Amino acid sequence: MSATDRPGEAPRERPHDPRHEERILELLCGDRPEDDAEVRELLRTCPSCRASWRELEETRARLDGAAEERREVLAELGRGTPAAGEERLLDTLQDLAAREPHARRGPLRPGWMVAAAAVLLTGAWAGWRWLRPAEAPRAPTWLGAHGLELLEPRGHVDEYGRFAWTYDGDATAFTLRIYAEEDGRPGALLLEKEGWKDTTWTPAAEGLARLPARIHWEVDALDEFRAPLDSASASASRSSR
Amino acid sequence: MVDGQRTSAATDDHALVRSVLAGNRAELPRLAERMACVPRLLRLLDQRRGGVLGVEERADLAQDVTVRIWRKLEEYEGSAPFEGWVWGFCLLEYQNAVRRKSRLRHETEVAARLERGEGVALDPDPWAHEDVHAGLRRIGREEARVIQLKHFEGLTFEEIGLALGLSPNTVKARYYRGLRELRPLLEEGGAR
Repeated sequence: MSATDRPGEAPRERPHDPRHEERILELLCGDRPEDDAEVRELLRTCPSCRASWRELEETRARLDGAAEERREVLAELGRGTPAAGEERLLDTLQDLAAREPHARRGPLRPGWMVAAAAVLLTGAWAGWRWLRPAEAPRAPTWLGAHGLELLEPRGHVDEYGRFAWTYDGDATAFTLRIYAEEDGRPGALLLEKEGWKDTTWTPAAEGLARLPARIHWEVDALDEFRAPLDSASASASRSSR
Repeated sequence: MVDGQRTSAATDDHALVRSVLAGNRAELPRLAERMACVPRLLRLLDQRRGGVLGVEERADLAQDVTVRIWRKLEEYEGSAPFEGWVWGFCLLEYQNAVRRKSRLRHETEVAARLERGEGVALDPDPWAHEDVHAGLRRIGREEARVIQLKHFEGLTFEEIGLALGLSPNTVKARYYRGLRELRPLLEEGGAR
């Protein structure tokens, strides 16, 4: 109890100060014990630090839970017998190595030639940057933003109909999923179209009829192994009928 | 990662992966041997969830995960043995596969409930730790790295500092910041 508190009264609270976070960090990292007088006083009198510490402890406990499961499964791994799919691994890797090599080998591409090319290109780029006229800054490009783009429906529409998207990569198929949107998040899956080759799909009338006022829909672009290359999602709502 | 901090298994795995990345196809059988952990992990995960997937589904899933791992192979830094690194891929893809299957199974039921004008509740999420892994993929990469080494690899802050070439204080600051970033994502109940 601080000197300013009286017996029987609630402790006097003090406003949060960014410097408090130093103490919380020390507590979190074990540099100060929880029964440290300064820490105890801080947690008693600063509601923000108290809430923050409780949240950090909860988060740490969640991480420990996840780590525990991982440890248990990895410990069991060594005792396992061969599992379904092991027999395909080498073929899959050889196929991947042929189709998607990580490196190109050969006498024409030794490391020093690549490095020299990089130096030349950097020099050329620096010269171009120096000489070119100033231009307005460009908008940032987000990773994946240009690959898969959902076109319709988006935002508010009169009725749901065609679902359309574009993809500028080499996808062999798409999977479209339509969810009921609940509290701004995807809820129950309502419709799913797997392995679709086109970039538009119109659900059957009965499927459209059962879509709720607000939906969340997502598209996965898939490669020949059915592994996702890219995915995108959008929300849409329609007028109440 | 400083060599002294690596286990010998992780060092061997890292050398193997570097060799494969350099185009040494003669090492592919060894890599396939190490990647046998993929179907086995998927089987263990499935057993713990009561056997949701069939044998063929697991075999197909193992192939999908193998493709994903191949594409991310350059990101393996050897801070943990290969199984530890592969774990994240297996867990994520397994959960996605089961969720797809389970949602398809309930689609008819959900549609019927909607037609009856009944509310549609979110399916109970059996993945107690899914949001943790999903959250770690959404927070800052450096922060996630520290958290993973701390909780999943069991390293001390000093060991993490040595491994990443950072001072212990920087590591602690990243850990603190990472936990603060992670917290709201866990409250969302599973980041997508």
